[in-house]
Amino acid sequence: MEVGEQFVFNDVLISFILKWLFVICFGFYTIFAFVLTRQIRIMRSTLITSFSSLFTTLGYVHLGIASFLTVLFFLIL
Amino acid sequence: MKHVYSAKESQKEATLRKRQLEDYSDVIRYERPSKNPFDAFAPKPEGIFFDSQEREEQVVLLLRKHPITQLSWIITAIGLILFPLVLRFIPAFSALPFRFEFAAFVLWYLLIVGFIIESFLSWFFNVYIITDERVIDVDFLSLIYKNVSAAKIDNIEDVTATTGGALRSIFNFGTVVIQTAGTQQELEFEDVPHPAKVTKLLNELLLEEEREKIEGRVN
Repeated sequence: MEVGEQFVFNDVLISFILKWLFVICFGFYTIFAFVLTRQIRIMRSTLITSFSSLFTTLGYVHLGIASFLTVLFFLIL
Repeated sequence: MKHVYSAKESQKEATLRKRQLEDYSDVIRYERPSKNPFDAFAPKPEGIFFDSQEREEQVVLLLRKHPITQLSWIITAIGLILFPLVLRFIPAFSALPFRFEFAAFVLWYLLIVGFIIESFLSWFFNVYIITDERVIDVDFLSLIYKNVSAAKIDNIEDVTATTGGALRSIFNFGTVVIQTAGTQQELEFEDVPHPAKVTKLLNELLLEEEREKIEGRVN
């Protein structure tokens, strides 16, 4: 194997590993965002305030962004 | 005869009727009802209820940790936000291809957003509630752990307020420890604003409970 080929191989391998590392990290974050929406539901049922619905919306927007970014980086990396 | 009977009945009803908070509590009498849902010291908060609240039960005071105690996570978040700017000056970190650098950048800020949301929710929903019947401590210790402790006002045996240190003295916040006779031996209202007022209010509520028992008024 030539030195140049070795470099290309390593580069591809590193890119592959990095891609999956990032996708897994974003995936874990999406799970965290999902758990957060459940937690907000429990919290807002425990303490009922005029802001409760805003927190729920915030939780779902956060989950949506996290899911979108996971898919986006899976496709573009 | 009928008039005499109805007058006696209404007099009896009046004595049995529960007194209003303002009638016996100096703390509540001089405090305005709180309209701001983010208040750390919220007397008679408007539009705030809790899940185990009884129909007749009235929220007298809602407490959260003093906002100044939240400064540690706010400073941490600002530091984390600024951290990538420092990394820009280190050449080793810009060796990554742009797409990976971008992904790392987005992931970093996403984690900070998560940290901020979690810290804020934890402050907002970890509350101490004083009603005219009970004291309630709501704790969300982590994402999946919830602990609600409650004690009846008439089970309170001792109330202690502790204010120590420069920050606590300047911003007037401290910890109120409530000793109870129930199974839950102790409730701790940590770093709440105006601990002296909280203690006074609890004493007023306790006295009123005792007065209710003596006078045979309905709870």
